[in-house]
Amino acid sequence: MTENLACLEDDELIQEFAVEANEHLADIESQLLSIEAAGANIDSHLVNQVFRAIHSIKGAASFLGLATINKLAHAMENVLNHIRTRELIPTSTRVNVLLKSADMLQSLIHRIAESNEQDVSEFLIVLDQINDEASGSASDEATISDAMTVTATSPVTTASPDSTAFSETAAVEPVAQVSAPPLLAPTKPAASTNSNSSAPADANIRVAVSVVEQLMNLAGELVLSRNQLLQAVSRGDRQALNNAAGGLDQVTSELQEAIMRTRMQPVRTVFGRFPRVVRDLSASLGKHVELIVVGDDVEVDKTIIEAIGDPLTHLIRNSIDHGIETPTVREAADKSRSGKVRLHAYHQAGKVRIDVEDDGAGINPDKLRQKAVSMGLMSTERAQQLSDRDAIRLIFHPGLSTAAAVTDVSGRGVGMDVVKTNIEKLGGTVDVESVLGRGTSIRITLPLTLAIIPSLIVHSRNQRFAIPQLNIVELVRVRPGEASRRIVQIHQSQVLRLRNTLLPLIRLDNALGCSPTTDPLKNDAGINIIVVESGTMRYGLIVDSVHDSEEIVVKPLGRHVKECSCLAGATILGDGCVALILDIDDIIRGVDLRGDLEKDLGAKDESASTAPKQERINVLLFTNDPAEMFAVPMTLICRIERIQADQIDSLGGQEILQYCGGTLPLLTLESTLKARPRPKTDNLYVVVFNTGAGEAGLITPHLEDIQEVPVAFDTVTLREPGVTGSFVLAKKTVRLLDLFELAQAAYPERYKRSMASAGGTNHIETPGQRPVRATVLLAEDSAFFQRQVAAFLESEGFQVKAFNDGQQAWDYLQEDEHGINLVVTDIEMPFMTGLQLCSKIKSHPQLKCLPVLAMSTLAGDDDIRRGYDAGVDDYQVKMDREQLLSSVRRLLETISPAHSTNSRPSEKHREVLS
Amino acid sequence: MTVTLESAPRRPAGGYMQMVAFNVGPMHLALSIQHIQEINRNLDVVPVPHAAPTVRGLLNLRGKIVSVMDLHAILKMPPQPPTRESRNIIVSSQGEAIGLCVDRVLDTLSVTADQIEPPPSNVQGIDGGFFEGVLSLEEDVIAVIDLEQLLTTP
Repeated sequence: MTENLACLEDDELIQEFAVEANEHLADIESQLLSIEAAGANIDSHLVNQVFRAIHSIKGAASFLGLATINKLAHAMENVLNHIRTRELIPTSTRVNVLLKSADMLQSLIHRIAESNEQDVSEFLIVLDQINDEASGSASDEATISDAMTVTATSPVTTASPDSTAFSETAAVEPVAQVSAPPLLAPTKPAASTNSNSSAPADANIRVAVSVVEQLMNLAGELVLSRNQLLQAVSRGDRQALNNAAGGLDQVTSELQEAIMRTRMQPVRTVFGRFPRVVRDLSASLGKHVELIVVGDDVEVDKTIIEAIGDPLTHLIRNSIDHGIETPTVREAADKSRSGKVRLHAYHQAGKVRIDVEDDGAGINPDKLRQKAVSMGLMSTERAQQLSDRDAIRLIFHPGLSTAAAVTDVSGRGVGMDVVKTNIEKLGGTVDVESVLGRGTSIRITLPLTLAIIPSLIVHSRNQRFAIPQLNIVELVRVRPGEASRRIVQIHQSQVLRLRNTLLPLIRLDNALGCSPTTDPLKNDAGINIIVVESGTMRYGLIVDSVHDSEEIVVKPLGRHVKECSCLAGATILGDGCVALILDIDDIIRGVDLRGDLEKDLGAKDESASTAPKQERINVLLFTNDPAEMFAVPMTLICRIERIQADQIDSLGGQEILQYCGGTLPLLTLESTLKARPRPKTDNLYVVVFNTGAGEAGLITPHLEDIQEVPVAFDTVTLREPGVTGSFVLAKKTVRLLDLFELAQAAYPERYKRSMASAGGTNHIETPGQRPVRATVLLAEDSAFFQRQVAAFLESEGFQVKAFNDGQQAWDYLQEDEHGINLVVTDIEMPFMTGLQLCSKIKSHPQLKCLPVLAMSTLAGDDDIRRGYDAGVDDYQVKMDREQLLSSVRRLLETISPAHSTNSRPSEKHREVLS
Repeated sequence: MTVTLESAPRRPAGGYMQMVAFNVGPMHLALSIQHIQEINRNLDVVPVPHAAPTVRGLLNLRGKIVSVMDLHAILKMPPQPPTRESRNIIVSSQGEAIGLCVDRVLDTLSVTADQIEPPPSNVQGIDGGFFEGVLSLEEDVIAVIDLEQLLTTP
């Protein structure tokens, strides 16, 4: 042992050994697979190669005192020797053992210092058994398998190809770790090929000698050019100076190109691991899959090579798991029994394209539409309007997985959305095409290098900044004089009207923490707006001026400025100046945070008199007659349109607006409420909302503000149909409108019908029994919301049991089976929050099938995620009556007895979201 | 400031340390030459939004982006705009090039280790933690900077 330690100290030798051993092992996997494919028809040349590789590892290891590596390599060598001499036939069982041993060997070399403490006896026993078979030639396969099951102490049977080992590792770490030997579980397998930090060899690049020679040549040229230049300058010879500059220009470009080539590596380094992935996965799923790799010599920047491994692995696993059908299904569909997965890399238009194609079942666009609707991502109409192509693209949406059920292999943890984000992070794009029954093709486009990104250079606060083109949707210029018309001021925030949508604006100088010098909106000299996108959010970024687009080289930042928010790095522009690269995601996040902060600050001085922890909602304040103020919850508003008074048509006593090729019924407050009529003006606003039976608009001449107000409404004094209550704001009484009641009061015929038709489904059908009324348990601490939601539900024919906090609701639920069919809960409640309540329900043996709908005034992505983490089946924003009710109906349908025991939809959501 | 190479006592070269002396505000400071990569007049920095006040900005140093620190801010002295005599001392710290903006570069000194005394808890009103020691040369007191300490202070 002391001898070994002495050797281990000789670091340089060990490092050299590791590099060399890794080189030997790099090809072993594919070689072993070829050996397996050849079967009894042994290619002795190939076997010899593997044998020699293992043999040299063994020799060096014994020299360096690496006893464990030596022993394992020796045992492998013995088996290979028998194969070489045709005493053993390389069956898939035997090759499996060899593959796993090679994995083990690789991981030992990865952690070379600890290798002597590792236990490889399991491998040795199995390998020795194979050896024994060769000597006692009578033995057959079955005995090995048996022997292995006995000897392997872990529950994993190494030999059987459909063992659960693979699917288990895959489930835990879905990223390309199939190759990690399951027997190695306690030592936390360092993924052999794809980890890029641990191995000392990974920090090096192998460069072809020809490239280095070219570099040397160019460096010589560069020196020559420099000498010419210096001479020309000292002589003051203008002509010679021109020549020298020209030469220098050319040499520099060539040099740059050559240096870039040293970073290029063939995609083979990534593709190489897929034959094994495909082999192992298809075996464990009982499918026949053939992998076809085309163009593995295409060269890509090293950084990209390192980053695409995981997304590609995921795509391939997806193709095999969801795409390719089982042999019997394929035969029934008149296809060949074995499916094909085609991996194709090629250059196109200065970019690298990688296609992952399978000839499997394809993706059903209708399924995705249904799922998107059931998850509340979009309305049914919108889903129907989507083209099939766009519907298939929904798989990239977080939370949607094409797998009908979560399997061990995919649908867990990493979703297609993660693949998409990862590839977009690299500056690439992903698209999908699929023909149902014929197959799916995923197309990835990647830049050749990450070091250079196309960007737009903008000017703000006398400084230039670079915005990656990736984040930019479009550029908008508001001409001088148009600002007042196109930019609406809603309280502190400015909003741009852009093709019927409202786009929140951010001033770049503000976002960068610099007090604005001049307000571009005030001096009205035209405004440059860059529409940027981050995730699903779109914002308009106001900048002082827009320069050119430039391909910039990203330079890393030093440790003192690395952590600065809003910055992704820096670059050096053509004139030698430093420009900062903006991190758009960060800027948008920063604005959101500040917005909340402002609200909090604003809320503080108003609510000082009321309870400190009161729930608040955002309302739009507007007037009809200037003296009377009204409010509508913001969550109910689809959008706000600006119209001219003469655009309104009056037909049969109804006021309507022609727009977007349809008609929008309009409501006026004075005709439905006790309200004074609006003054005669040409400019009007229409607040558009969804009634559940189409959109309707409420006319108002003047928008006042958007404010967050505490939910403490007087629901008695001014109550009338259409008005839910009132509150006092800045010494003025504001009436809070109920838009649905208002619509019903204005158009009783139209909306009553739709309510009645919707009300028909609120019973639960139990076989052999008469329909019973569904009972909903409602937990909500705010008296106002409790009454509101209970009223919604009761008006739809549900029975409602209301409680003031989670604890009360839980006590009630536990007491007995009360025939509760659904729980609707607030999130923020005293004693027990809605999420706690939900977790309790979901972990209770009897109650866990009970669907839970959480509702909240806040619905950020994080909140929704937390909700799904706690097991919530659906998440709705309070006050949005239609959404809430349709969600309630939907959840009740899913628990109708036939489905109640099946997997809950949330199961999948949670998996994908987590 | 009259410290010159000549004014420092001559000793055999083996025991000497080379230091660069400079001014920041009213203070005389020195830094061992082994940390220093170069001294230049490249003072046009690009300010970094949201950065700590101790960061003056970024500099293009022949294709490398270098953060330039404001020694006035680090040493909690009143800010001072660069003058004709201001210089950027590019130091190398933890493998990274960092610029230190100083008001004036004075001279190089050769000193021996025993000339450097441990720093008092505060040097002319500034926390002694920033300094490796103090060098007393004739009429002047020069504080020797502890570079890592200086650069880790937020």
